[in-house]
Amino acid sequence: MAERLLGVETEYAISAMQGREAAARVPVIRRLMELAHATLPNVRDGSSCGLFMENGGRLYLDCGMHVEFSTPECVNPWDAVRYVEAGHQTMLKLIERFSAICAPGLETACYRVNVDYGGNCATWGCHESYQHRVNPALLPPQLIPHLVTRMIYTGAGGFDPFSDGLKFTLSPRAAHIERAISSDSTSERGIFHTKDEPLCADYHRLHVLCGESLCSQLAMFVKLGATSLVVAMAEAGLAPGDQVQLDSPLNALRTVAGDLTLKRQLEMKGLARKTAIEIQRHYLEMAEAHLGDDFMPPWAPVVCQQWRRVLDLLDRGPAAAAGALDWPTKLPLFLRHAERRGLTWSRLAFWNALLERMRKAMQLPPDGSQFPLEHAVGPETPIPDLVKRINALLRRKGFDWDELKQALALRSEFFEIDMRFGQLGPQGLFSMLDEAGVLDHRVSGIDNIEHAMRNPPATGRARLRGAVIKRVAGDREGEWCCTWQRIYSQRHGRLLDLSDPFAKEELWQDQPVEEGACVF
Amino acid sequence: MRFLQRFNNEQPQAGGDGDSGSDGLLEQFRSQGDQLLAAGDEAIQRALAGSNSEAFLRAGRQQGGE
Repeated sequence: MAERLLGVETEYAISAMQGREAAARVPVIRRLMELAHATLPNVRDGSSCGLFMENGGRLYLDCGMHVEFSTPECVNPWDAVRYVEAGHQTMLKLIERFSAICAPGLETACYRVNVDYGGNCATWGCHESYQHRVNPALLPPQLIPHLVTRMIYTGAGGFDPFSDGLKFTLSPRAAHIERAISSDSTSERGIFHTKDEPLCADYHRLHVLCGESLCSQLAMFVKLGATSLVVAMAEAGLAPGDQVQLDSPLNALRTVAGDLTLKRQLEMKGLARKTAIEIQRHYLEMAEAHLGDDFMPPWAPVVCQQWRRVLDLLDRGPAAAAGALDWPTKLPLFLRHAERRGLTWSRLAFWNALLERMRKAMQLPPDGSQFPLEHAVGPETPIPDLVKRINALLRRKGFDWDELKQALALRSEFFEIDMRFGQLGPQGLFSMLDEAGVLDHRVSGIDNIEHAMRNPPATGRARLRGAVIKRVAGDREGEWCCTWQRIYSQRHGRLLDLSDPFAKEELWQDQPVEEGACVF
Repeated sequence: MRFLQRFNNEQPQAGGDGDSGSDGLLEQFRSQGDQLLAAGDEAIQRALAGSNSEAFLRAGRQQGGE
């Protein structure tokens, strides 16, 4: 049985409120990082202003002033989810510490959320890394059908940030994916990201950026486990994607994101059409057929069991997966809230389409800016013919513009609900539902989160990294710094090479380096 | 008007654009049990109490990102 390393990066949203008004966010983030340096046992990150923690993970500021936590390298999906949760708890503790010392009335919070509904059309990433040894150029056709269709269980749920209306989507992040394959990560993102930065010797690293931050343990577990198995099958030469090639991956991605019925058929190369569930079953059945093979990791049978359970649930419709997966849990909350607010959910699709048509007619790009409805339908409308036709349609249907205006007035409230769903701590909606005992998302074996905040995984180089950091964190005079592949003390002239991801023992090298020289 | 009907038909959000009140979709969730909906109602009311949603979204607004 083969060990496989995997890990997760989570970018967190941080908000600051003074009373009912927004407060400056950047000073809060800077202070949080200062607190992290001062209060968490750590070694300075040699490649950024961040730090490596005693659990082997990395906390740092990424582009856009995002606080980001990378889990240590893990050898199974239980550990990967455990360390994601440990990252959440670490962030929560930092927020609590900050709240205790910040200016009176300043309220800060931290969120696992995927898109910014605040008008900037930005997105927070949740990236996955999978170690492999296959030629990276061979991976896209094997992975893309999986990455597109896994959204049925990996979707966080929420609203399309580029829609002028309220358009529920299985995956808000999907709106930020613009290519089938791309090397970019901040614009023109691809379903398949070609970045191959191994951060170790003798392996490649598949970096997946089309996924999302999730709250459900089950969704995270199956996302990481199933994708690992697809990579393993590709590495073994089974070509798991060959029989399920999508005609247009990007179109398929949009279709899956908007299909709450899970029954839409996707155009395949050739004559066949398949649903996302059928494509996922294709991958699952191939994995099940090879469970006893040497290339499979030892945990593959349990992952397949949970993968099958999730697909069986979804086969019965999203309601069957409510409480177990993210988007099927969020959707009924939005439906119910719409009902309470007097909105007819089923008509939102109509209004969304109408807004989309008017924006197009006015030649306004779909850039997330607020649609000027009053201008569009007012006496100075730049699209009089279209508005006339729409008015006639509304009269025939007995609809009224006021209904649309009411929906638009409530957009921010729905967006706030989405963001608060993933808020860390007891005030988060997901946490409240979990506390109320109405969820069924936990995976047996994902436990000891407190322990994972202070201790590394038991296997691989992360174990060594964490042990060293625990030992030297207090030695400020040693001028220690760390990267994924090395730990080094400038003062002591000692270097630990961790380029072997499965390193089992500390093999230190004496390596005097001149002041200011970089060993990384 | 075909363009609007076409758009509408392409949006399987729920049971079409009829005015038949709240949707079959919500009923499907209700049929699985009202506990999640009731707990969700309560949680949302607590979370939104006294909140200014516009300011809340501004407070979390970001630049860039991966």
